[in-house]
Amino acid sequence: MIPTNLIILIALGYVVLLFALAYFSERWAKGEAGKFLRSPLIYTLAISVYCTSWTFYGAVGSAARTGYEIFTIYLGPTLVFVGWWFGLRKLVRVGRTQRITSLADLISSRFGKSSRLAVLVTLIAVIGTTPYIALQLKAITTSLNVMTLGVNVDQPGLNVDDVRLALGVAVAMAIFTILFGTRNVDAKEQHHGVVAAIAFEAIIKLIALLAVGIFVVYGLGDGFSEVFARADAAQINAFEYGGFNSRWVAMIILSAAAIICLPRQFQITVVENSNENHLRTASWAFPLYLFAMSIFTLPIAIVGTAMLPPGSDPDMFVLTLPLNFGQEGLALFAFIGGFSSATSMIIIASIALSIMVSNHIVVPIALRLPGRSDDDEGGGVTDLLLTSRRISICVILGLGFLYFWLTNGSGALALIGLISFAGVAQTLPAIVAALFWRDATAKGAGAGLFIGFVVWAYSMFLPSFEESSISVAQWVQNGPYGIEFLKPQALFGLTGMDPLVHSVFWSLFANTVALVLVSLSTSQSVLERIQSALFVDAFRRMPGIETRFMRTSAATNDLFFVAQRVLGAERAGAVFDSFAREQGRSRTNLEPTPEFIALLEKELAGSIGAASAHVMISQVVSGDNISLQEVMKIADETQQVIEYSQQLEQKSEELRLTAEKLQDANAKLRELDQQKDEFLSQVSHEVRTPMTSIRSFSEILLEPEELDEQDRQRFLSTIHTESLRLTQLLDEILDLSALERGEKVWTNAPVDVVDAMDRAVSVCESLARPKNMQIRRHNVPAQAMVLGHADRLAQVFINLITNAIKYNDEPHPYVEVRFSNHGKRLLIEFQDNGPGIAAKERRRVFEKFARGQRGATSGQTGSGLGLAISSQIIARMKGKIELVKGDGFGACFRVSLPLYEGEV
Amino acid sequence: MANRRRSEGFGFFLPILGVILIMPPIVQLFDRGGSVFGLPIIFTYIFGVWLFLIVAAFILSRWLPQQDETPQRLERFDRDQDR
Repeated sequence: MIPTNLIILIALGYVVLLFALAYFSERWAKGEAGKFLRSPLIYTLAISVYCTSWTFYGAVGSAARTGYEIFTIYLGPTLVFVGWWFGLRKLVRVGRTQRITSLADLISSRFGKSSRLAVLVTLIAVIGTTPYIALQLKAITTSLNVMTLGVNVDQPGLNVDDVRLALGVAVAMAIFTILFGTRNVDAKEQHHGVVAAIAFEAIIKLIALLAVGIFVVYGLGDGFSEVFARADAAQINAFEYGGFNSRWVAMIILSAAAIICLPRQFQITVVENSNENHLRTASWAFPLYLFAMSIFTLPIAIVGTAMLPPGSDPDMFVLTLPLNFGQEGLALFAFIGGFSSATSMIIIASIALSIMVSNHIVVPIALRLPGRSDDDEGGGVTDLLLTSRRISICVILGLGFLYFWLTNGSGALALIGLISFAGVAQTLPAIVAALFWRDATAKGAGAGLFIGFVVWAYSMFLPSFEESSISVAQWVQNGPYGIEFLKPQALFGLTGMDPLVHSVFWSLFANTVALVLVSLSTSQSVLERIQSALFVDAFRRMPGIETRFMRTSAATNDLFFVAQRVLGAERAGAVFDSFAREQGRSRTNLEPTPEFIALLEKELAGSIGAASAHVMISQVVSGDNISLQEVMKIADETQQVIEYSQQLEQKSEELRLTAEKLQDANAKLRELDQQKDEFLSQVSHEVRTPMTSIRSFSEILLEPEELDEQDRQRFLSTIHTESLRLTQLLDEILDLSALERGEKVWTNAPVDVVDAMDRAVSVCESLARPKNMQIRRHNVPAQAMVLGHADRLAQVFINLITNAIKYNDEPHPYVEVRFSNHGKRLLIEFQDNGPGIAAKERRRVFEKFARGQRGATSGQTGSGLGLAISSQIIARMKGKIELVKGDGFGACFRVSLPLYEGEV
Repeated sequence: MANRRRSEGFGFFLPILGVILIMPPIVQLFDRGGSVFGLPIIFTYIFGVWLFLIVAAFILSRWLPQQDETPQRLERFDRDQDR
């Protein structure tokens, strides 16, 4: 056994070390090392203040009793941190921008800086945390007993020594925390020194637990698998199946709530946060820490149950295993680890709670007391704050001790912890509403908090005194005054439920319902509305929203006086100087703009909470807030402006579209105009040639003499031919323009293509014969029906065949007409063995007057409109005509038409 | 911008996936005898999901968009205080 004095000496030594660490960190924080102290690593380690002696000792005990259930306590926070982007990030942003000092401050500030809400939340936090502090006292006391006496048997009740020991520990912790946490009142309520010490403790407890775990798994056992095999052999009933029921779900919900709502977690995660991006690291690093803390929990529980004498307290396996197997050094280290986890919790929790108590209970009362406000200059409020905080710490630890004493230190560590969790979880609905629900009102939040708290106190907190008070036990057994209906653990006759699930269900249910219903049926005050916008829209920048609604007039002197009382002369001076610099004036000429007043209020809130700061500033500033009607008016005007600008945007979008359309139309018109010009000039050119020859021949004929009859005949026939050509040209132009404009009545009827082809070929025969040209047809089907116009179709074929004949100079000219089917289309190809069409002309053949180079020079007649007309006709029949690469060297035109499949 | 949306989508999905994986009924599927790697199935499952969440959160923390700065005024005052 290790001598008692030595252990106490070591514990004291460790505390002194911590204090030194905190002290020097505070000093370094100002210098270069401050960067390290404000790093994400330190932040993450500090968050692991979540792992208290409940984790260190109680997790193993819990695992030995109930198996996997204990991991819910770490899975809940893991989920919250993994989802940081949507919850914690907003909480931290709000906390930083609004200078939030505590959980109570957050809720009070959001709901119109209400002092009543702040008091209510403070009470919930204090009462909810009391069992938790008692838990730490119990853990320290028991572990000390184990270390010094080797007691490892679960003993009912407390002996005098235990009580004295616990009292001693409580007193020591109180002194320690006062020295640590209340040396000064920081403007931001950040304690770099304390955080550094907590981070250090986090490392110690992790290493200690890992050391014990490794010793147990690889020293006493033979690796993980062997240890788990033992569990099967020993038939430990904690690992039987079926543990994943409603209790599992309830505990995950509770632990997820706790990581946000526990006052110490809020303090570290939100208040002590120095950079929002630290959350980014913590989002995975903190779950990793929890993972590491939990990995050995089950093996230790299994080995402890299997190897230690029956009746050993499983909560102390972490100590008793090394002790029983002669590893006193390791046991001592483990003791320090457990001590670390307990002290870090006590320190942060009591600092957080003392801030709440002093800011929300003591200061408001002091502000209302007459005479108090005319105190000496500077430091008046600061002193008050420090004193009240020191007393609060004593009171809080005293309450913890009282709970420990009254409940006889009964119950496993995990049970006590869960009572706390369920208590502080009552603030969760209000927090969520504060951040995400614009219309939540102060009355709603108050109602929810109050009802939830009452239900929790009745169904969970009260029954925890069962063992120490007979009347409470009776009450729990039979209901108050024998009314079964109101039995704390079976409210409204809801029996057969786990007491924890029962209490969590009723309290959170009543809490949320009250919050929602009352919020919906009450309305917000002006201040609530403003604050609600600031909180819910935390990520939207709204410059000046706080100041817009305030018309203030205040004397700079008065403001400085107030600031001095709260912040102290030095800091107040710094704030005023800083703002004066921005205005470009000296401090005495500082203009107290609404912006400055809002800023100053926020600065004060960083010390004494939003509600108190608001009261103090309001005392100095006259004019105060403008009326609701005026706010509504401003809001309405804003709304109108927004709507108007939206309308304008819509209009301008419409205009833009219209302008685009106009531009398109204009471009099209220009193009058409140009086409028309070209067409006209080409038509004139085409008309001019025959006209010229007609004119000159008729002029010759007008001279009576010198012409014999033969010449006269010849000239007349030329005139006749030319006028025929002219007429044909004009006919075609008319035809084309009618086709293009779609004026001609056009009806598509089922037509046999083969029929049309026969007609076309017979017409062309006469033209082909003189040139000795062959017209070959291939694959001609019996019948091929398409929708179209028989004469027009024949016209197209005639045109194509005529072209092939006209331009062919080969000695053995031929044109091949090939029929084929392509899906539901009929393809007709006209392939000749003529000269083909030059590459550069291929694209233009279907344009008007686009005769090929040869056509123009070979003296062939033709208007150059044939293909353009054909193309129009085929288009009317939903078909296409194109120039394709045939297999020969001549030209190959392909007409494709959709086949008609209906009845003929 | 699309990337931001997508990473935020994953950031939203991950905790929800985690909740579903560790809540009944899914967790009950693994609450049975037998072992993997010499460890009970349920132990491996719970710690496996846990580790997966940590790794995914690590990757996400790199991927999620950098946050816009804390409002300037606050920064300035923090700086002044540090002086």
